[in-house]
Amino acid sequence: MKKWSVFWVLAVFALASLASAQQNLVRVNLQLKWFPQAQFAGYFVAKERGFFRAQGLDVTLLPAGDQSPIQVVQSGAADFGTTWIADLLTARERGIPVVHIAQMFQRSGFTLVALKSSNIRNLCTDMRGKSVGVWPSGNEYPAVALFRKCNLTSSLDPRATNPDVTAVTYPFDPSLVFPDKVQLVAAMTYNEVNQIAGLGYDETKVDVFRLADEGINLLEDLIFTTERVLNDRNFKGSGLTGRQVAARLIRASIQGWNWAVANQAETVEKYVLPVCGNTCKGSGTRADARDHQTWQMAEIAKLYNAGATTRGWAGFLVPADFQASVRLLREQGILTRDPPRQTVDYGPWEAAMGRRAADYR
Amino acid sequence: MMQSDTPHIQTPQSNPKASPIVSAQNLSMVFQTGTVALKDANLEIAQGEFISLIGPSGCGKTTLLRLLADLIKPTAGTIQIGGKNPEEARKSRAYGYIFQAPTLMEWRTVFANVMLPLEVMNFPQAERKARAEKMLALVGLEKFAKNYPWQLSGGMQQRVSIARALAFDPQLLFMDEPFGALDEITRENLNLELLRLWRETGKTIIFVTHSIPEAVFLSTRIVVMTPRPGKIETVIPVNLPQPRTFDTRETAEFFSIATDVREALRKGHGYEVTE
Amino acid sequence: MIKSQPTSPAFQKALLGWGMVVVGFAVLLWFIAGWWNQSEQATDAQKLLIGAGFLLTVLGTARVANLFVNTTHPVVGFTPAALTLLLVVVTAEALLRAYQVPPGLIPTPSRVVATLFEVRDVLLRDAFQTVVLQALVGYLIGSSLGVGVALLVSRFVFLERGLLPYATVFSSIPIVALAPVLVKMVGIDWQSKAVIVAITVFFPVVINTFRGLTEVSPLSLDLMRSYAAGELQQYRWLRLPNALPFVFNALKLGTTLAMIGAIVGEFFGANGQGLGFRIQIEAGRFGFDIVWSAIIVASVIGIAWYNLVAWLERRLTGWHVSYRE
Repeated sequence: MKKWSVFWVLAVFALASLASAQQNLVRVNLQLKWFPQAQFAGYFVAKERGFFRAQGLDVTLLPAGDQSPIQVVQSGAADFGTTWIADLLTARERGIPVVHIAQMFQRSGFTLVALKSSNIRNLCTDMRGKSVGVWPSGNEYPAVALFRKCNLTSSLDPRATNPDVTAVTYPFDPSLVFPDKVQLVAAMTYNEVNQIAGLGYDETKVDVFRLADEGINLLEDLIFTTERVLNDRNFKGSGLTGRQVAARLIRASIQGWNWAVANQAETVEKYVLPVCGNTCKGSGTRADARDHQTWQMAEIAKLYNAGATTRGWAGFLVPADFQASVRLLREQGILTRDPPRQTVDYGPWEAAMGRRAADYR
Repeated sequence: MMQSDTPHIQTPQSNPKASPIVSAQNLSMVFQTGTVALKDANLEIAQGEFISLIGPSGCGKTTLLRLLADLIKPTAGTIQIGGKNPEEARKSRAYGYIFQAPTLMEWRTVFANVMLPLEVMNFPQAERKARAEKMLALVGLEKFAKNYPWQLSGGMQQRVSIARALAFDPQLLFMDEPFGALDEITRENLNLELLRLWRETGKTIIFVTHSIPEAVFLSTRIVVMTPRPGKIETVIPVNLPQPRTFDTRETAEFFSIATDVREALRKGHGYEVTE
Repeated sequence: MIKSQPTSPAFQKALLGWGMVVVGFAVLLWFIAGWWNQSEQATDAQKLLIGAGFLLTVLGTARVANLFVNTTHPVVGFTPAALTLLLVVVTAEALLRAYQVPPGLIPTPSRVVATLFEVRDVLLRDAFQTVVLQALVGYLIGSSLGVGVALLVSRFVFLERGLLPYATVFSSIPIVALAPVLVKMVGIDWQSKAVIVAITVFFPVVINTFRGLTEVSPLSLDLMRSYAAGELQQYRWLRLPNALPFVFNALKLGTTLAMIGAIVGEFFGANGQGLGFRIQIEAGRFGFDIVWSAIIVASVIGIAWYNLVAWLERRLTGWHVSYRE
């Protein structure tokens, strides 16, 4: 009994001292869109190199779980999240009060891959009657937009009794469906394209259709939160407002991304490989985790270092790009009305970067 | 129902020497545990006899019955059932066996239960029904043909099991304490009914009991068995007149035979006999 | 229902109960009608009114339920349960409207019903794939294999020692652990889900059937022996009928397992249709009206299936102890 009470007293002291060491840091959960990999390099760098801490934040990076990032953030299990624009806008239209606060990737990396031997030359004309492999949970929207643009119904549409295109859902691994079950498979430039090459179908055997080239240029990785967080006057009792926390998170994240893109080899070695575990290995010629992540880092850098970023406006959601995404989703009937103005909030980004959105030219 | 006015068809044979239907010589049974359940039993039973095996628990009476029925094999000795060895006798369906519990199939109606042996033995369809109806009438349960066993009392269930054993008309009935679990009044009524069946059908019955009055009332001969090791102590003839009635139990002869049985049991240290 | 004179206390009680139910529902429905096209939250007073309507109906339903305590008619006796369901649905509708809960979180029951009607064709096609191809095919394969294996195991003791322990272990493997592996092995088409279902149904059927075949009274076995019944006859007349109630227990459990297996299996890869596929896709898109519609379809089919098996069970094992009154 006595021994135990001594132990408990010590344990309470240890916890108390831990707490005091961190008491100045605001605890923040950031929900990533997928499992740890170079796609999120900027956040890993910001965390490990102390950029978040320098902003007074103690950030926990949550890997993807069963739910979409929107659901996690909406439920309050995470304060911020990263996701794609179509996911965000459809959730908003369904009444989920999520808010876009920073646009990290300026280009889309979504592609559909087909075997050259399947004779698909033009997506719109050759897709009818084919099967297309996509990921569920809001990741299917670019493909849906393409189907709609080509005037094709798909099995993703609960109102289509006789769909022109069969959309097949598959988890993670394209080898589950490609090329046996589907003629086309969704693939990100920075990940699955390489996995498919690893299956023995490299660039000489497959056609990679970038959806951006087909007019489906939907913005991808962005940072969002909820109106509840933004309007919080005292975020988790820290004394900071939700907007201040958001601004600090954006500032540190952009610092992290800039550093990661400038120091790719070191980023992969020190900050990606230690956290990405089993999910980050590739296949084929780049089967090794280091090779795959190095290649992915380079591909990701292309998506980050584009558009506004190259003009010194990293993390900025270019209004014209946003309008283009909205217009596309409305034209394809994925959105039935324009999103409300509160859907995008430039305030945190402006506070973080010391710029005014209206000054963008 | 209980008491039949018809005179008994057949005078029971009390002379076992004349062509025995059951004959056991030097029968011994030692279980794997080392228990000597039966030692050197010799017994001859004539056609039409009603034999009771009586004795306390562990005297080997049920073992003897199971040996005769070929439900278990003896470790020594020989058995003849109607001139055949027990296995042949069993396979030629020479006997009906009635257990302590009615052992009815709960998924079958009373009628279907009586038909069970006939189905197993592949009797012609029409004959099955005719026989089952007749047997149910014999035990007075024709009104319950469509009931399920659980809807019947314990005594009625045991009557169904007797009808079932009689259905395929075996010459020999083995009854292993069939009324042991029933109350005294039900048991006495069933005893009377059993005697009537025995007279009407002319079967040979071997009946295990641990009740002295029951044994005296039913039997033509009583085989007294004693335990440790299980053996046949003596065989007592019962020369009470047939047909026997409730009044038979009140006669001096009845008490005298019961006393003989009790003495024999005591002689073999079978004190714990219950009545 | 209690037959009584108009002036008797029992009649007055009944009248009061029904009156409370009617008034309570009227209040709730009146609010819903008034708030049909509103997009603001209701006032506190209105929310209070919903609470009052709910409370009134609850108390009324409790009184009404008392009137049905001695009812034996299967449909009439269901009245209190039906009232409860109606109350829950109507109250949910009123509250969701009063608080303006976004449909991307919880759709109103009326919206779910409208959606169910609108997308019925696709849901029926989904149900065909999930229920008929995956659940039913897997169920039939799993249960017939299960009965077959149980027959073998009960006949050959070495199988019982060598095989049965594994059945117990395997039957406790959770479906979510099994599904991704099987989808990867067999592919994303309906066959992989049928295999998942077959496996999950198989083990309980084996274990239960085996118990039914072997938990036979020793006296019954002696009886069959006294009839000189062979092995086959012993099975036909004794072991199989004895096993029937056990088999049906497993078959009833199996309907639930089959529906779960078929739906969950689709979460790990689907060929573009199926109730699980629809639920997964629409949950990811916040289309919860469709998700709930799919859940309703799955539940109705699941309940009907279970009851069909239960009905068969009553027909075939009506003698069993569980049906005695």
